[in-house]
Amino acid sequence: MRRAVHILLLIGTFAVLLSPAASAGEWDEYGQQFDTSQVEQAVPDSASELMEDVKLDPTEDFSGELEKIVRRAVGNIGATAKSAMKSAVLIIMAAVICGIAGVLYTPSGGLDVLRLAGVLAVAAISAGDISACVGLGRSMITELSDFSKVLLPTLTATAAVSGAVTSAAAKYAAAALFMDILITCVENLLIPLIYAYIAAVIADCAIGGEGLAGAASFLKWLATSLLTLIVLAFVVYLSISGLVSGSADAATVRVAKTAISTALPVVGSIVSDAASTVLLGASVIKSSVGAFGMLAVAAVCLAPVLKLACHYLLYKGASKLSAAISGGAMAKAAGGIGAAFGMVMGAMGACAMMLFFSIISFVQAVN
Amino acid sequence: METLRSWIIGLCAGALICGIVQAVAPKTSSGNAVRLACGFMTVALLIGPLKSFDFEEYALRLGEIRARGGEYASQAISGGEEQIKAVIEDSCEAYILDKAAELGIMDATAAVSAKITDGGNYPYPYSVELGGEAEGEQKKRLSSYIEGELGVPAERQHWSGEDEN
Repeated sequence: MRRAVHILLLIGTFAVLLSPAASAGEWDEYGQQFDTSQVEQAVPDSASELMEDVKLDPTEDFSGELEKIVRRAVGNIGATAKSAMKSAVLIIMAAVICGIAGVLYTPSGGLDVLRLAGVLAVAAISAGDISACVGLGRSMITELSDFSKVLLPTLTATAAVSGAVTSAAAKYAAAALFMDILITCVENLLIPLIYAYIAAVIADCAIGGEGLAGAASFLKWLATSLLTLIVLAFVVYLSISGLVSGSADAATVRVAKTAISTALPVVGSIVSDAASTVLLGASVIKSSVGAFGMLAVAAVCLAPVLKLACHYLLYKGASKLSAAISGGAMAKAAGGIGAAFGMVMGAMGACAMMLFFSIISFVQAVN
Repeated sequence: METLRSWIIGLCAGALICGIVQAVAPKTSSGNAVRLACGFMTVALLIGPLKSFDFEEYALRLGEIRARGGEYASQAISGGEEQIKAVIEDSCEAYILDKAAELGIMDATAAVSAKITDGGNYPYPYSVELGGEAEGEQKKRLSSYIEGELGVPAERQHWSGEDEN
């Protein structure tokens, strides 16, 4: 229930963010000042096809563009689903063969050859998928990291000019540091952990024993906890630093406005209007850059996440069907490999969520 | 991060080896001793490298990132100040030209220069360069408007052609 509420809140924020921004009279000038063309150029190639007609412009209908991106990504899912289905069918066929062999031949003492053969067959069938999916996750996270190196400085600059002087730098520090930590953890810890987990699952299913089962369970727990810890620490750090520095920014803006209005009336109103115009212009750009950034992140993530989701669901499905046909070992192996795909999806989701949170935090900074 | 990576990889390798050893160990008292030894080994691998984690490196990294964020913000703020100055100058020029038209000054021109003075946060109009076909009384009245409403004193208002004369 709580998860559903959080998802609804996130969708609501997305919807508000993507509503068409007000048009700024001097968009080109402001755009050049903040060099927003860099953000458009930094969109990864993998997302360019999905983001075909999207421009960084306050008059762009970002909600409509999101719908187009989702439709294009879902439209391309056919080939992905076919490949995952092929592996799932092969696993089920292997389970059938092992099931039939199990009826005809009963192993006596020592090593269970049928069990070993069945598990190794599952491992061989899924080897290509594992390599492809882990590689896909890794490249997606790298692309997001590279994109964030252009997006975050632009958002920092626009947020600073729109009044969030202190909080912009603090939020940039939080977002950049944690993206850096996440990328490093994924490259150096998570990917090896996932491979180690797969190895432990295969070994446990092939040989058996509490030690290997415990090792597999521990590795899965470690990978999940690591991701959860990083995302949680990021959200807490970003919220607290944003809250503290945001209050200071709001107070600074109020004091500055009051100071202007006590000067000569005519020049005072000219100065006040000028400051408000620049502030408003920067806010419009900030919202537009934020909305464009969220679309780009969605475009980068959608296709890989859908591919991994296909593999996860189909492997889990194959695991359930195999359990009915040939007993536990092959089903457990297929289920474990499906769980590994889930872990990769978790890492991708964590990276995307951190970027979404960062963008929302910048855009909601004091105006 | 390298230390952490080696720790995790060592832990995983140790867990796998212990798992395999426990699977093949016989179910006798010596097998139990092997299992116990595997347990101690796992615990040792778990807590061993934690004491050598380098916190200073992360503190330095955070400092560098904060400095970079501050730099982006201050560069943008400088740009924003330039824009505010430009808007103020344009608005003041438009105001002066409106007043000049009211006074009947033909072909009036105005160039305002704004500046942040000591203790101020925003640029205010500092000096004005004026031009146009204006007589003495018109010039006086315009100068009085500029001084009274824009805060630019007479000595910082210059009519083109005055210095040449």
